[in-house]
Amino acid sequence: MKSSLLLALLMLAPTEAVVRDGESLAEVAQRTMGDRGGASELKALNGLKDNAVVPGTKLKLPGPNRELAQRVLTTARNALAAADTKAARREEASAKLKEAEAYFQGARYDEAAQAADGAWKLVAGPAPQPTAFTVNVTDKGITTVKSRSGQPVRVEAEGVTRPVHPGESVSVEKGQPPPPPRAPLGVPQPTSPANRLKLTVQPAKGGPSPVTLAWKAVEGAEGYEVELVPARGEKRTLQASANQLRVSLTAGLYRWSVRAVAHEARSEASAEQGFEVAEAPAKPINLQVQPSKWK
Amino acid sequence: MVFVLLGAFSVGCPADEKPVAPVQAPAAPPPVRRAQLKGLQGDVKVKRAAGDEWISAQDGMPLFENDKVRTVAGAGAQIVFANGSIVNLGDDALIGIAETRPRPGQERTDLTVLRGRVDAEMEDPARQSLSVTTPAATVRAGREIVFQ
Repeated sequence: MKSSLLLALLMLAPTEAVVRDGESLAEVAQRTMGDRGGASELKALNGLKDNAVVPGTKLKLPGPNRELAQRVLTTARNALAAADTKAARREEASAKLKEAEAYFQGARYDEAAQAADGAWKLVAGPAPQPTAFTVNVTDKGITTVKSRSGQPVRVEAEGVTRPVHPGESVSVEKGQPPPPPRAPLGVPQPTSPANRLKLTVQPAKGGPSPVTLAWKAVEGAEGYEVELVPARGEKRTLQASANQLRVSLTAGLYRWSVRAVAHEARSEASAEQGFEVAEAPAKPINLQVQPSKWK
Repeated sequence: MVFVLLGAFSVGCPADEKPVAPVQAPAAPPPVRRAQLKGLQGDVKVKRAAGDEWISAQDGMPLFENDKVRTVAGAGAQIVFANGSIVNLGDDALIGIAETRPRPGQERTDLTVLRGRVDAEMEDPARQSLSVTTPAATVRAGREIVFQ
């Protein structure tokens, strides 16, 4: 709302100004733009060779893009001032900001905004994650490359190059190209218990009866990882070798999700499901008392 | 007539010309410094490109092209390259620094791992790069540039 009002006001702002008697360019800038420093912009905008202006001269005034460029410049200046002086990109950002200021003085507002935005991104953007990888060479010359974080690394052998993404590893034998990337593991779909189902379990001697969590099997999965979060208590991560898991649970609310795992690969977690466990009430004891003659 | 011509084109040295000393081979260029050894643990040895002997590594020791570094069981070291890339060398490893590639067309890489494990890290992969050659493959990370 505020921004649309400001835009409307800017649209209504005069686009021209007439130089008054005895007025300098800086004074015109102060009167029309509220900034004496805007004289250089007026000069550039109107193609003037010097600061001398004849009274009665009509001067073109900056449009609404000046306001926008000014805002972007202010943001970039603040970001640069707050940036760590040892930041690797500070110098580059400083040069970019200087470029933006020069564009602004020359009334090239769009270019100024673009350059200032570039400077802001250099210091305020998220720091790139370090790229880390491991190379292991066995006595037989087999090379295993594991990408640990950051950008993927490129493995080349026998004229074939393939990327190795973080979390992935590739083994290359001498004289062989790197193996093709595996298809990503599918995400398991929970099947039981149904979402938000209330389960009643019979108390047994060794504790509550187990609840079975099940999901659709995923091709290529060597196992599964189930994350079980009780409403009260700590999250548990359980391993399953097949597409179901029996787990003894006390009464309460639970949320759970499952992901497929294989050698050096993990699928995304399934959508979270919820269920409630309630203990079945104890069976009533039917006592029958035989009538007796004794009193 | 023939004899006259031969005499005119005589190939012998004129009496006033001194014999020229044999041309000396140009001196080998100084080795290029590529990295520095740090964080030494246990027995770490270095073999210089020009030498045949393994010498004990020292913290801060510069590493030049074609130098080799060896660690024994339980040892380790950190190699810091000029562009800031860091490589942690595990135990029982053998590596070479920016080795001259034996075959034409093969690009020189920053590191050759002949045996063992290295853990590499680049803080700013947009600006840094690291290339590793092994007996089976070449691994490249970071900025895609050709090694110079």
